[in-house]
Amino acid sequence: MSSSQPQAPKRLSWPLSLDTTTSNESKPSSRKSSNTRVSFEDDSSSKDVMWVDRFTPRSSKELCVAPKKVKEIRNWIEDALKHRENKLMVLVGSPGIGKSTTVRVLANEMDLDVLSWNASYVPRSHATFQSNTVSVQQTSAIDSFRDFLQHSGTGFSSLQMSGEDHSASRRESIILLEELPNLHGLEAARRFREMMSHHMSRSQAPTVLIFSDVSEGKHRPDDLEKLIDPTVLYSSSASIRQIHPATKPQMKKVLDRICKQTKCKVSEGLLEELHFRSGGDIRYAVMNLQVHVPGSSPRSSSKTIIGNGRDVKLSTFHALGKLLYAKRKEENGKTILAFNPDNTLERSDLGIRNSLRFLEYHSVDFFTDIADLSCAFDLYSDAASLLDHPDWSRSDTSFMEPYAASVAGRTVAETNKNPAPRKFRQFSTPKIFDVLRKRRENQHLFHQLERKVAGMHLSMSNAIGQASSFNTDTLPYLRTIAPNDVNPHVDNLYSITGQPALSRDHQRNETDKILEDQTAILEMDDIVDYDTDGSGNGMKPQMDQPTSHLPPKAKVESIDYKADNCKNDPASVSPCEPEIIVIDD
Amino acid sequence: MLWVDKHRPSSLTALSYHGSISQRLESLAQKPESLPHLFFYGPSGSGKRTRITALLGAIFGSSANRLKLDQRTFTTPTGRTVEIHMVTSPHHVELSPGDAGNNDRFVIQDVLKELAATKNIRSSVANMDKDSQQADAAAEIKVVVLNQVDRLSKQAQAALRRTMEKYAATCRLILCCDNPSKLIAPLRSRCLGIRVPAPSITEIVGVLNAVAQKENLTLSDAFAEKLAKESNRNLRKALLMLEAAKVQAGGNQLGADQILPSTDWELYISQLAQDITNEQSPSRLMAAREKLYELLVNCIPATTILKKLTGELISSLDDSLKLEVLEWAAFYEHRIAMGSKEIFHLEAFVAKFMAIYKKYLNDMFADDF
Repeated sequence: MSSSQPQAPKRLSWPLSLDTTTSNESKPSSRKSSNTRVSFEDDSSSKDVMWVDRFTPRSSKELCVAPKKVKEIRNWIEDALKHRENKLMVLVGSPGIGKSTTVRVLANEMDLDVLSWNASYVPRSHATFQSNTVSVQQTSAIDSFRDFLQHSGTGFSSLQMSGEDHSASRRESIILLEELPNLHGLEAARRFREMMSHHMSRSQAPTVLIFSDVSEGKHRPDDLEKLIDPTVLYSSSASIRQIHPATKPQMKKVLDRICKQTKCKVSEGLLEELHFRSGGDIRYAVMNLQVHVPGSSPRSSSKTIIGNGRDVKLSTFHALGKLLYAKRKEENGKTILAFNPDNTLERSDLGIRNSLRFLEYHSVDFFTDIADLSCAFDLYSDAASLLDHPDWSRSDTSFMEPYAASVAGRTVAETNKNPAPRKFRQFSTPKIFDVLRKRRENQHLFHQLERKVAGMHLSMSNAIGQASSFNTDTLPYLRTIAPNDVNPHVDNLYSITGQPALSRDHQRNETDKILEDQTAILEMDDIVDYDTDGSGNGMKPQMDQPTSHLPPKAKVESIDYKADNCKNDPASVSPCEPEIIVIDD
Repeated sequence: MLWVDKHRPSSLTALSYHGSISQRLESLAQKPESLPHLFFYGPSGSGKRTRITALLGAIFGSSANRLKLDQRTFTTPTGRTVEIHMVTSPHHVELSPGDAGNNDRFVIQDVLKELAATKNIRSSVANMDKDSQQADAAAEIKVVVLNQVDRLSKQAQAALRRTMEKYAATCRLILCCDNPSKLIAPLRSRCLGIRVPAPSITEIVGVLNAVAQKENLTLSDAFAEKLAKESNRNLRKALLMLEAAKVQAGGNQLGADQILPSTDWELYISQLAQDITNEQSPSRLMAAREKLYELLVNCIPATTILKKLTGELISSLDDSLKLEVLEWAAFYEHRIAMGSKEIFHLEAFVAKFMAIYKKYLNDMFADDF
């Protein structure tokens, strides 16, 4: 993300420079030569610098991002400065693929100031100079962020406001948000959203938000909506752009360049392996190169990469798919599982408790024999009871989790003797979460109702406690006796029991609807490339996109998150085979 | 007002069944200063709380009926606040500490401490009651009625054990719950246990007839008996059914052929039972799961679902399978009671039943050829 931080030391010395982390300020030399060749600093002075910082791209040509994408971003910024209608761009992509660097480099080329916030930002009004010491008042990060937005929203860096350089103060600036204040807690999140909306409505400078909270290359719309109000996020003044990880040729080009600069030789194999291990994370690749290149590391001339590479974090669906499809492979004449069940749940980003619910919910579809399924459910039930033994409820229960995970992880592999044919399946969030939430709501409603009924007759004090007997005994009859009191509050089971034939249809419609919704979400997540429609409206397909069921084949491609890189370059290999998620027959 | 509440007897003498219990309570009420802690238990709908209310009335006179609903906020040592509703009169407090969830023990301790610290102003009570001498003695003590003590956490029960003795001079506790085995033994031994059994069929029929008379309703004996049987000897349910039947009938005549009003969830569960007896396959299990979800959403407790479902399944089952199915039902009900992840166990039971039943069918099929 912030691989381009030659200005990092500058930032740290802040109070005196009053937070102008403008790219120009920190790299005056590169301004002139921005469009020509790279000017690297003297080797002697940069001996100790990390290569990531030393070889930060100085021009857009060196960027490891698709040129088309760079051009789009450049156009957007130009438009934004001209019309002042485009206010916000969200760059989405996994960490280390050069999102912030792109913005900084472009700003540099376009002669713009980059204003960015970090946690040590303190607005000028809060700092007072007393002789040589600077006393800084404590402010919360979110307040400081608000002040930053207010200052920078004027479109000028605060330093130039102070009037040192009047000619330069006419230079435009762009706001780059990489680091955000701590947003835990509803209140903070709400304030942040308000702040952003407010900022968007009055800011003169275009704002770029870097969002790298992604899993396997994709973000969850919810996460983004937590930061920015959906009405703003999906309005025409905002656009969301996905940056893809570096492809193999791109990364090779960069690594080659670095090798040439440092006059060291690396084998083709190492480069390829670097790309494979990094999964397109250019920062990671460069760091590893520095470690492994002979001469620069204490361990000279190592040909292969030490260590296990990046720990791949499996997305929920990936992990579940592994466990549920329970692929086996041949090894030494024996058929063994193609994965390690213990590892898989450990690596997934859900906890074991939620994973268990997911597994149990989706297992049914993978079985054909009820006896197998019964065994599986027995094991899930075992795992569930391992997770909440009442005697341990107050103390540490986590020591049981590995056991539960182990049981749950092996369940399908062990019990499913007659698996269902492989086909595409949709993984959705288990309904049980919805059920539990609705139950809480209903419980509350029932309770209110109970109180209302009892209100006329306190002596029986039905008004206190939540007797389940009210739900099972009183309520059903109450519906008959005093329908006016009850019906507006709660839907009841009669709607279904009354007309059994109708009910099944009704339920099927319901599941169909859910399926359609899910398809729509899938399409929104995976298929709609935010770039192809160009209008920046890629995030609003809920209405526009047809919600028809796509043939499985289409989804196969859509789920492969590297799909469009592959199209550009058929030779490139996605670092992570999506073999699990989708299997067609 | 529902008939259940409207025709509820308010004094010990008006209670229509369990005469021996009423007598005993009567004699306890005579000497309020020597009233022990009481523990009422018995199946739901048998009249536990009616008896408690009547007992309070007998001890404190009419002022025990001057009730108001209070909302109290408690702060736990960890700074969390818990809101509890309680019904209070000048003499007693009734609350359901289980509402406080994990913080129940703080609520209990706070309430007891507070009650023990304050005393009644005697005169205000003495003027009102006919028998002022008895009221005098009664005014010395206060009563805390704890409902649904089976929902109390173990910690809260342990806390109660000490508190009970500490404040015994001014405070009496009346505990009330369905199943006494959920209360720890030390608590049970500190209380005078009063078991209120479910009324017999004839007793229920008697009550139903009495209510019908008050409501100017012609109730045929056959129908009354049908109601009593269908209610599982749960008087509350029987009365509600009577009232529902009356609404359904639209008139004041309830003949023997009157349709019994049934509860929606019971109907739903019997449908579910039918579903899983008809076909045993993973896809049928999916359908069953939807039904279970629906039941849970409607706040039917998981143990109730399991019990009812087992009952429905057993009724149409071959004798050779009954034992096995019952055994598994007990196994999974135990697990539901132990933990919080009920859906796992419910589904596991349904799958287990399907597997057993399918094997049985297959074996039978094989035998035939």
